[in-house]
Amino acid sequence: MLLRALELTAFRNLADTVLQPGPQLNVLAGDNAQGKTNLLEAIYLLGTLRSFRASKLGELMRWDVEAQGGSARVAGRVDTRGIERKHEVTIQAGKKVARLDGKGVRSPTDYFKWLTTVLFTPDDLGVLRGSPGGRRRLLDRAVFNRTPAYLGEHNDYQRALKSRNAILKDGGPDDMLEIWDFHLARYGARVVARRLAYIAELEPRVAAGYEAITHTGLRARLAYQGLEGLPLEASEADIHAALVAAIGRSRGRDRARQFSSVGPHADDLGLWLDDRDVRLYASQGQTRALALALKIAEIRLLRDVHGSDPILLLDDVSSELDPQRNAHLFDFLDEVACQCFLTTTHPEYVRARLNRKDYRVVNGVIEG
Amino acid sequence: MGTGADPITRLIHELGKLPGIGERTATRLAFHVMRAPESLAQGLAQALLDVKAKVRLCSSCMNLTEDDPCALCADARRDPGLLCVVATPADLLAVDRGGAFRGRYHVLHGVLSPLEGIGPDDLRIGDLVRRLRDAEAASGGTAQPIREVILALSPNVEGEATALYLARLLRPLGPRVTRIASGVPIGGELEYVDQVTIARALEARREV
Repeated sequence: MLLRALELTAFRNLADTVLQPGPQLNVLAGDNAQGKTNLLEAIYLLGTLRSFRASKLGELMRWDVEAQGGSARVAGRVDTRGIERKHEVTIQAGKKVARLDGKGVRSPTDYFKWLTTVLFTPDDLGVLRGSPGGRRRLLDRAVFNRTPAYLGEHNDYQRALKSRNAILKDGGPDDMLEIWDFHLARYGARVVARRLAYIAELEPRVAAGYEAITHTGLRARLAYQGLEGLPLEASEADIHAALVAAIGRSRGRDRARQFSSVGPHADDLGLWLDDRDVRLYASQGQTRALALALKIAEIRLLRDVHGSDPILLLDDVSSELDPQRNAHLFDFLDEVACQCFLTTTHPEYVRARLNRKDYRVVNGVIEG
Repeated sequence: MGTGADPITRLIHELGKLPGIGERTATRLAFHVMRAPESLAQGLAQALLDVKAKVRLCSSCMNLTEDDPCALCADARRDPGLLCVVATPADLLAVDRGGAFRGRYHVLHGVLSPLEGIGPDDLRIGDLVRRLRDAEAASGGTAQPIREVILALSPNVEGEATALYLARLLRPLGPRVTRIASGVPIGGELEYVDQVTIARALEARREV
């Protein structure tokens, strides 16, 4: 995939502009708080219809425009295997509207399949030793990139979960709780099945990637931690049966806590180096190498299954990696040679040999 | 904005309360009414008042009607042994427009939604159960004259939950309980159908 043109109107602090990015490495240099990450955010919004940091849509609009009740717009021409489509997101009055080739989007899945973005931020380096919630988000984002239909399935699960929690909170009758037990298990089984399938695909690529980065012979392993003893190759029906049983057992406790304790919303992505749990025992260097290996594995997997490259968004990652890991990252970028947008305060340290286009971002103005 | 505002502003304000009508549309509609002959305003005002004064729920199927029982329930050519359960009067119209269904209806006026605080008692579910019990009693209590209840509810989270709740509630009363299929639309191109729908359609496949 190639972003051929990007048009920004009233987005964050950025001056209205039209960019023609290069086909490979696009380096966005500038001091802190100038708007470099905002540009990555605009591309991410175009691909996922979400922000990776704003909690309110209004934050995405330039403040003077928001104050006047105006609208913000991000539009991009995306070339996917020779087919060019125009993606467009407009934000107005707390709502966002997505258009593909000027037409409203009926099924979000149709929109997403033309543009995949993989984001790598310094937060991803901390996630592996952080809370399970961070690892679930990392996993869910990756599964969504692999299978865009996952977004709707995950939303359905969230709705069933909130509904069941509402019943628990109101002390609703058993026959109602049973209905939502069943639905929690049903939508939950789909979410778990997607995650298991993804982990099975990703793990060998992570192991190979980790070894290529570190040359230590330690084997990186991933495991899904949810229901006890669920094998990676479990079918959706197996998962459903296991979830039904587990949710049934948890009912008394859930009633007391007024909260659903069992289901994919409480699961975790387990990571090991040989037999050592990364979440507890890995060094900072190992954690970062593994985070890098995970991202590289995700990109390789997307290339293999979609037959086209995702667009990479790297937010100031180099500053957090040591010289050796950085060298590996740039070698990888050289090898895959897909379109990449990289922010940095020190463009001279970006040593990829790719066809490169440099931008400077100063106080919201992007200079080519 | 009270009744002190000028009539145009008031009309714009009142129209703007309708779903799907923003301030701009409300303004356009208000000026259209202003320019149009007086008969339009009178017809519209009368229709608005009539809808509240004359339309009520059919005591049998709970659809909106002027006469009780409603025309659908009174139609002797319709099969009383088939009952189609829908969430809203609009859904009823959508099902009936096709003309393929020649049984009776029951309107729930919503679906179960714990998030919006809507439980079984907020819907016309009690009336549905009573209807099945009454039908059985009227037949001498030997068999359920309503042979089949078809749940025509939207295939989303709340619709599915409502369908499951109703299936459990109604099956012990005797009828066969079925659910409308979901899948690939007629006249649609397979390649444009989303993956979830394809998966559903595969699950519900049939011998040709």
